[in-house]
Amino acid sequence: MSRKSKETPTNLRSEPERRIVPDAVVLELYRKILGVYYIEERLKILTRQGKISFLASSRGHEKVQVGTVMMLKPGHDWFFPYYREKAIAYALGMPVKDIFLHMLSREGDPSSNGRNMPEHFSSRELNLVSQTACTGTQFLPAVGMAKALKKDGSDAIVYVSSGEGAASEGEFAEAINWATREELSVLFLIQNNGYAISVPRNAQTTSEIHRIAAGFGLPSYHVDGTWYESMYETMPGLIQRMREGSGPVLIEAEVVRLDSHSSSDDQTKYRSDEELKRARERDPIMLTEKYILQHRLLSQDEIKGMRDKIQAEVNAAADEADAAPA
Amino acid sequence: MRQPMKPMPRQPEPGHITAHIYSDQTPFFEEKEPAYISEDTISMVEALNRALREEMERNPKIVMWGEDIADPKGGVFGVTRGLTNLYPDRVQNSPLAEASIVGVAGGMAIGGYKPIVEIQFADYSWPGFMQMRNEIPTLRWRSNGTWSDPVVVRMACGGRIKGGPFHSQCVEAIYAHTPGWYIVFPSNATDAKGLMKTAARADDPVLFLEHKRLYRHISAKSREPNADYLIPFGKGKIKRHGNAATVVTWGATVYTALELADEFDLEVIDLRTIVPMDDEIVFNSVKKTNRVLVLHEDAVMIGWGAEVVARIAANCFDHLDAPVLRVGAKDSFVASAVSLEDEVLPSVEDLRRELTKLLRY
Repeated sequence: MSRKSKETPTNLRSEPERRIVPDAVVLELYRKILGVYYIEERLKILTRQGKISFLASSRGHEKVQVGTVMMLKPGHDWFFPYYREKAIAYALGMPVKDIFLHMLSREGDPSSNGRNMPEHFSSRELNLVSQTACTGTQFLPAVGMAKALKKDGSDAIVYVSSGEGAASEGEFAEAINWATREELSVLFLIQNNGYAISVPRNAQTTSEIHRIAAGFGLPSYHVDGTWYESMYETMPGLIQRMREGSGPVLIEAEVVRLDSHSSSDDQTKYRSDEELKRARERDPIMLTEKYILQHRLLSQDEIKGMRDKIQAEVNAAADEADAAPA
Repeated sequence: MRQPMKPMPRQPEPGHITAHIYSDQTPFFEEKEPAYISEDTISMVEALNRALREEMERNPKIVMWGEDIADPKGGVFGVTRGLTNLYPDRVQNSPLAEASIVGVAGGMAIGGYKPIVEIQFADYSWPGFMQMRNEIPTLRWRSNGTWSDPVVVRMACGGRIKGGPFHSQCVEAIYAHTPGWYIVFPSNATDAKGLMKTAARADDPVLFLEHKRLYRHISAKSREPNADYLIPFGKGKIKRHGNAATVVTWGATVYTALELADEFDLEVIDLRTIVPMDDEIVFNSVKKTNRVLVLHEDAVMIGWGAEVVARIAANCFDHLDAPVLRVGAKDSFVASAVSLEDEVLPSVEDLRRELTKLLRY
């Protein structure tokens, strides 16, 4: 696509009849998003027990996060995530116990040893760079990392992400401008769940993020982040071209926020029951489960077995992290 | 039967909360006497340019960008002149965007490079303050020593160039309030070269403040030390030995103090590095002269002088024969017209008046 193009291809088709993702990929995705689900469930309990000071649930975002990591190369590509991305850490291979040690701010938390707030994962082995809690400040360092990789002659990609609210920050505009002008391999993934805490998307901009980015000459795409087919059709080819030096890409993924902004927020104060019901109808885990049953990839019993096994593994790791020192 | 008490979950062990704010690879070493390459003097602009050239030749990981820094212009003050011609792939103009200049530098440093970037006027650094306050200096600390971000940010600062409120600011105190940075503020060509070379090899973020009035000023010209001369951070310099009172200062006001040094028999200390500050050189001098005044070009209120005074009060109380005084800019913005700029910025007359008070006390 021309650097000057203002086209912003939209791929929001979500028909489960279209079977374009290999079954093994669907099952891997399903296993991993279930892992995230049971991590979130346990974290909610620990938060209610007063053991966790801050929780930003990734429910509704787990598919776009896990799914994107599955298209990238862990340990080779670089990650500059934001605060609602424990699914990124999990999909990259951060041990579940380490996720809980960090969320619990315990001695031995490998992300920061209790210095950074929960939800800010870091690992040098995983090329997962420590974040601040400020919205949108990760974009410019991500561009700098891509500049370093280009100078090194590497084909690695830098993943950087935020919600749609942080895309209103000036640094976002500066970052997409710089990445585009130097054709740096940055994958901007904007996860649009419609809310910046309580502020709805139409209060951020009258335009749309993928259109704004396209105005900078940045090839930009609009996908349904709750439905893997949409991402799977759009992204792998773009990622391959990025490795060959085609420059940055922006993906705006439509997702749902199934839980409140954080453990300090109550979304029922500003979202109606009807709206929340509609959001739950797009629950990415439920959609994949429906797909799996429809195409008979697994039976109900097999799903139950898989869920129980994953939940038990997550809880064992959580117990270990929560346990007192020996 | 009593249940055994459940042991408490382990919180991170306190006791080392300031670990990883700075690297262990600190740029502290014994300062050697410089070997000069010539009897001739050079300007501060030339000294900085030569330091950058030498360090770029030595370290291929050094990269630079900023507004207008590429040749043929080579920076609005000419500090980087000739460097793009030497290293076209490593020195480039940036977009006119200060958050980008420092933020992209931060990312490239994470990737193993050594960006030395220029903010054309310190007054314009504020879009980059988010990165310079929250991202860059916290990285090593917040990741418990896993990551580091050793950028050098050069800024032209200071007044008396008829620059008005937005080309004259001194910013050392605002930046010094954020841990994680080394802050350097040289007053002459020799120091500028020696300190820039240290900055280029530091393992931590360095804010390098260059007083634009001194870039080509005759008083700041001095001999050029050779390529091996580095000045450690945290070491001040006694510019004149004296007995009546100590004046602690840095940057352009070093010369204001020197103007009155003979008249009052002053000991004039040039701090050279703001963070870390050379407490020892200050305390030793105060213990000798028993009277001290801090002079700086930045506004008095919560200027770096406030910190210097507090440290003297805490450590030299028994040695003081008079209250510690401060001379600095009025708590105003710097005006454009010369008559008004003179009114705002600290003058020789302001210093003479306060020194007279200090010595009569």
